[in-house]
Amino acid sequence: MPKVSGYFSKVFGQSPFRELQAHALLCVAATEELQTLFPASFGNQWEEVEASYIRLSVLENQADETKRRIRINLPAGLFLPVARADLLDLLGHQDALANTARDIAGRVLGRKLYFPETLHVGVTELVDKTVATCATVQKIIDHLDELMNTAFKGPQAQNVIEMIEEVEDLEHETDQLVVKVRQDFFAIEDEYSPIQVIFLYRILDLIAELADDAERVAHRVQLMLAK
Amino acid sequence: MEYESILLLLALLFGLYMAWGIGANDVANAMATSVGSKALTVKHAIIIAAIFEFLGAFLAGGEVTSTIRKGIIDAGLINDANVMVFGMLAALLSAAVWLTVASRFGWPVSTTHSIVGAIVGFALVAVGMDAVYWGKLGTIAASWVVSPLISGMIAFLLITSVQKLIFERDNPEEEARKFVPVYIFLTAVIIALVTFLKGLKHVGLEVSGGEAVLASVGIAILITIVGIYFIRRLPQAKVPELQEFAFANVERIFIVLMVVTACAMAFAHGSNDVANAIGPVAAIVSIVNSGEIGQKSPVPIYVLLLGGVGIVVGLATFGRRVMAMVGNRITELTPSRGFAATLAAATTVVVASGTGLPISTTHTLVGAVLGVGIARGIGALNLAVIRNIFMSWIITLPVGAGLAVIFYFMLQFALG
Repeated sequence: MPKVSGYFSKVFGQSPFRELQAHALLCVAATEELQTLFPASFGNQWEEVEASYIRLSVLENQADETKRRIRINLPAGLFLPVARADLLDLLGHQDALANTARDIAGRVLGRKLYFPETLHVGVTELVDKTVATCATVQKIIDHLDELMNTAFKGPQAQNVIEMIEEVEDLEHETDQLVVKVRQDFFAIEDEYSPIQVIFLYRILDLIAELADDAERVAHRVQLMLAK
Repeated sequence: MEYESILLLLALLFGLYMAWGIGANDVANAMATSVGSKALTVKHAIIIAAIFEFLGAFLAGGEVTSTIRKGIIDAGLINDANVMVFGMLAALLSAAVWLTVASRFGWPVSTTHSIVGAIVGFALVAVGMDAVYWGKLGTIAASWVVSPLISGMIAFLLITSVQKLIFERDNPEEEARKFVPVYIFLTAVIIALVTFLKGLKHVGLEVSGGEAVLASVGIAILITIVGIYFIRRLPQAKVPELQEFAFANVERIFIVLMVVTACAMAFAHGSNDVANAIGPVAAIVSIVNSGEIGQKSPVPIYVLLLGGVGIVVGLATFGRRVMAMVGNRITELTPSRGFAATLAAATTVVVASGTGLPISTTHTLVGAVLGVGIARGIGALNLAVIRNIFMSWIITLPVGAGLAVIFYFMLQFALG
């Protein structure tokens, strides 16, 4: 009696796009946790900050796990609708979102970093804008598999191109916000402990970097469309 | 029991075994794109396969059957009727056993390549180099290379047309309602035309070219009307705000088309692959009945029926399980892309069948899937697996030939 075979179906590999979308969801969810973490730190609620950090770490771990799975299922012999190098590159930058978010959260929690009260509004605005940048990236990734319907061309591709431009605009706005918060901080920095000040500046840098990572992901998608 | 009756019985038995093996394993490959794209449930795929494999074998399988029966080797050089009968029995058994073994280990092996290799092997040993029509064999071998290329090209053109005409438009759903009936008509007209022009004379119906065109167009219009009825019945979606919902609606319309294409594919597979089982049987039956080799008698209807029944039994016993597994493994194929691949393969196979060329349905389908992949339509294709599938015929030919030789001597020893 023959065992079941059906070798033809082995021709189809596992499409990386769905997993890539799951990964994006996790990474962006991790960045969104910052919107809970910073307000908690402004209120000196350090237990709430820690809980938020733990949630973020769990998401980051899940993202790592997903990333690993995608890489394992992406052997060199796969024929993909996009260049394999672009895809892996995109995955790396996407993963950096979660990593950077965790770096930020870890430092805020570990050193109990507290932004001066006059900066709270500015920092909140900055974090919101950065998370919005990441969320737009996730929207782009959500549309990736759909692009296979139109060979990465046509109105769907146009739609994605517009979203990429939106990410670029948002990233630019975060840069401007960082400059503004830095200036505000510079005016009052003498009143605080130098070590604290250095670390707070570093946090601002990391938030700016988060937006940069998001833009890098968007630019990889741009490369996929350009083929 | 009479000696002739034993030979006849053996022939029918081996033929049934082979047809059963095709139904159990090979049909699942032919239906894989339809089940994988979730256009058909396994149950519906089985029903469609049972009906259309049978019709394909019965109505359009005659030309390939003739090729297998007398197109590969020169029967005139074989003086002893027993040699021919044993040879054909050995070829059948060799191909069937090799397929069973290969299926067991999940090796990609083509039914067509097995039987052609087996017949050549027996002829070389029983008669010699002269017995093989090398020119015709060359044509067959060339068709194995050309058929995946052609079906890949057709698939690429089809999916590109779907992208341009439907998905890239402002209202893809509306365009799909407009163009899917055109594709249904195209599918039906191709299959019907080839059947009328090439197949029906084997079941005793002669139609002229003009009549064939008229009848094909008539049948195709009928099928298209039925298709339009089913498309109309799909509820018109509310204006979708999100593009992805619009695409989901388009794919729902393509399911109707995919059902038609699945029928075409089963028909094409039946017309091509059943001949692998019943070609040798037909040769044996003709010799036993007339006592001479190379008698110009049509393929008896009951032999065609035997092939059809064998396939259906194979489907009912094992095909179901294989199909369910195949369908589960293919997760990323949408109906629109499945349609492009399947129609391309079905067209190529049915045209090849019409000209009597025994090609591999699975290889043709692989070529078609690659064509869709090149149009950036498929998430991931395993190139290593594809390479293995295409390489497999290099090993299948000598193995099929070797086994046939062994079985030939065994049969001669036991019955001769």
